[in-house]
Amino acid sequence: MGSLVTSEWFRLVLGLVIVLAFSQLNALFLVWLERKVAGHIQLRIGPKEVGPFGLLQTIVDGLKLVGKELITPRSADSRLFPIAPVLVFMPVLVGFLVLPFAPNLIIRDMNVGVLLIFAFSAFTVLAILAGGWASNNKYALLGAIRSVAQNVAYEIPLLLAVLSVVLMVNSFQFSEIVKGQERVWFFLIQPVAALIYLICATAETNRAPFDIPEAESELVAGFHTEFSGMRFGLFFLAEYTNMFIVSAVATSLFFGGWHGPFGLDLGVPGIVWFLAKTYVLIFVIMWVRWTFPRLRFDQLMNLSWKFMIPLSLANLVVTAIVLKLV
Amino acid sequence: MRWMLLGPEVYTFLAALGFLGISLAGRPNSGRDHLAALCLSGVGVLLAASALSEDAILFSEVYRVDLFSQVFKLLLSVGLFLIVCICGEVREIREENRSDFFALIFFCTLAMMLLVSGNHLLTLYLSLELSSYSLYVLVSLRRARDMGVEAGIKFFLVGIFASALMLFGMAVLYAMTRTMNLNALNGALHGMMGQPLVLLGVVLTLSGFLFKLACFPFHLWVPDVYQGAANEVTAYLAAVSKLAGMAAILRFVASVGQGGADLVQVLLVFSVASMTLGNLAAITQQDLKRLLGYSTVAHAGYVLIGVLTLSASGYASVVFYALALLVMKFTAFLVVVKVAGNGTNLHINQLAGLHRRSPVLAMALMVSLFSLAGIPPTVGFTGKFLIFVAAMEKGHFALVLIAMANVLISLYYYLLVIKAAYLLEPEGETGPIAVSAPTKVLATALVGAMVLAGFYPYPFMEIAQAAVGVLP
Amino acid sequence: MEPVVSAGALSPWEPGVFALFVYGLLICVFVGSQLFIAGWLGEKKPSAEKSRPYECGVIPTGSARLRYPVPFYLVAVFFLIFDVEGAYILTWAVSYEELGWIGWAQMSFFIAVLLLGLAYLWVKGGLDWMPLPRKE
Repeated sequence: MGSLVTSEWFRLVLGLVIVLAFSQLNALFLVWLERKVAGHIQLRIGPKEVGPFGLLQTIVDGLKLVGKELITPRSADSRLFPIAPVLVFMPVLVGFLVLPFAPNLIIRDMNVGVLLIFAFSAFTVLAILAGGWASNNKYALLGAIRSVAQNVAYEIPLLLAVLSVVLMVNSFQFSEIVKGQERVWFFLIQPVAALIYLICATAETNRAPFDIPEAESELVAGFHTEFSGMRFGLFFLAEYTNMFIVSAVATSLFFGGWHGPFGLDLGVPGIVWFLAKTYVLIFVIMWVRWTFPRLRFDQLMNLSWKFMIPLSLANLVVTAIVLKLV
Repeated sequence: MRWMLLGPEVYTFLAALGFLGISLAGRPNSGRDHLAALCLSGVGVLLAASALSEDAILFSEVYRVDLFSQVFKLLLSVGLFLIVCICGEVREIREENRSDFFALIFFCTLAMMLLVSGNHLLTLYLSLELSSYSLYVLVSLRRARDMGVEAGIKFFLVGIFASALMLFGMAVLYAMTRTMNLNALNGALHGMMGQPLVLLGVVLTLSGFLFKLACFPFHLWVPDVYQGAANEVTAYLAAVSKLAGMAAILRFVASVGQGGADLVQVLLVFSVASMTLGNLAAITQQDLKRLLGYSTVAHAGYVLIGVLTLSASGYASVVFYALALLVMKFTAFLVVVKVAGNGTNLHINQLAGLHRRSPVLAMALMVSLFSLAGIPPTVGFTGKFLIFVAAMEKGHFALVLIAMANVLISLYYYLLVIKAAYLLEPEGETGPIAVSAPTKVLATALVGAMVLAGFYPYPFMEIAQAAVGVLP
Repeated sequence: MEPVVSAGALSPWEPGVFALFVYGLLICVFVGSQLFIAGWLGEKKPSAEKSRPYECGVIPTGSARLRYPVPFYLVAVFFLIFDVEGAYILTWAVSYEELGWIGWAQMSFFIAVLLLGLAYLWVKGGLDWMPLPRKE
């Protein structure tokens, strides 16, 4: 029996069930949170009718979404169009496999964990392009190519910022990276990298102020203009799950993962620390969205190519030389 | 610490970086750039000459500095210097791209210096790619965008095709021998040359070098690229970049080809096809650059004859022929650049009355074309003679006969050009061509060199023999 | 009870690539069935107006397969260059300790070349999004 529990297949199926349940619940909660945050920032109250504090609002919305008709526009690519939402959702869930929630709560502690997450998040670009192209709609295609251009531009500084952390622990393994932060969280040692990571992660998730690809006022909804019902729901779900993933990665790379501050655990279990920090980061991302205006597209690209990339490369070199000297 | 060991390479790299810096700084000033390039390449020749006797194997045996590589580095430096001499006013390249142009020809020369020293398949591949990429850009830089870009894309497509085949061939060779080092390959392939896979690997790997050499079956780019590129760039392509191709193919074949009877057959087919195609196609050309392009294809065929002998005398004749080609091709293009003063392409009819418009250029054109055709007493004759003798020693009688027939064919179209320059009268009124005193000196010196080296080739032959002496 | 399949048999590689593949496939199956059920149970009232491409109510004109601007293509090319070079830095970062000062110097040189390339792109206008002023 013991061998079954530890066997890879058991962990796989268990992981899948937990991840699916968690990702859906998390997305429902985040949508509610987003609306509450937006409401309070704009001096409104946000949802409050359905359930306590309006907590059930998104569940009702979700149920409504499931019942909606799945419209396929007549000019759309009939094969690629239905696949796109699946493609966009799959890589996001793969990311959960390697997240270090607590010392013994990692579905699969791979030695290339960090790399895996970034490899699969790059996969999203293909799904977005597939969706935008398959829609055969001008808004969708424009949104898709903007999104791809933005994602690839921000992927480079993102990766370089992460590399300066990898350099410090010499490993891509999440558990190793978190263990390296037992005393000092890496964002104190690598403030520049942390900042670059957060900005780029916001851009990678296509959120304001980097939401040019789905800029409502110009492109309706960007690459998912034509998707309705549950297909739209999957894009939506993927976006919020992605937000959780980037925040969780930031937590484990820069904010100590399951550790409390300065090695003080205060008797609180690791997973609580981890989730608390992740949700605080998510809150910050939401806060940013409702505070800053949207960038123009050339500003957006220039920020990455002319500022982030040189800065992150310089940060990498400085990190390397300091590590050699110390 | 021997500072001169990598002297030419480091120097060329720094010079190229300097031009890149100038290009980044803005403020185009082509006069300044040309002067700088002239000085830098002149010093480069001296540097390459002083590094002639270096000898070492470096970087885990992937890079080899020996007499063979140093001789070719010297030739490359001289070629670069000569090309820079005629780049005073590169009209077909925009003012703001002029520094890039110089940076790119320095980078390309650097890549070819690395190529002639490569002792590992990947070193050869990387340096070949670096030089090719510089050339793709150089070709596309032409002011007449449609011509330049079309030529550049054709060049690029054939190039990546050849390099993909080359990589595949390297992979096959690696799979058969577990090594990519040329010395190790030489040992490992001993007695394996009869195996079909090895032959496939060697021939596919050769495709990259054949592309560089403009030899059949990778000659398709030549006429369009020669026509589409700016005149100076074509001159560089024809005169200098072929040198590195010859050096690389020599080193590669000398290392892996020993005892490859089938390889000789393959090379023989390539050689015959290359000369015949090149010469027959050249007959009908009206654009002088296209004509010279096809003549390059034909010459690649002659060069392959020397390579496929697989003997020291054949290799030495190729090295000698490399020197001869550099001088002959450069002289021909010197005339093209100077006669087509505004940088456009030169039609053969435009040469009419050249002997009156500029006697020096007409003489240079005549001698260089006679030399390309192989008329004694020019260096081209001596080069061909050496190659044919080496081939006869190995019993390639039929091949030499075909080559002789080809020489006769080529004489026809070269004579057409010379006829245009000396016997035809220009239609309209055309004034004399203003040729500056240094150009006159240069042209006269080149003519003198071609004739002298034809009469008295022994010192060069000795150098060539010594250079190939270090090949396995 | 013996496990039906040993973990080693079907995933011989260290990161368990096969398991990963199965995981991804299972997600696709799950999400696909979710979509299928939604489509099966949900409304189905097709109409010509509804299946027209949505362009804010305006009747679409021309093909939606736009020829998009060249800078997007340039961004893709630059990305390829920088991302492939990022792959070299990746492998360097994990073996940083072993490589010593020589490794540091080599990679710093490499990064300097990268930065030089970026500067070249920048100065030459490869990163500009505005239409360039016509030359000549």
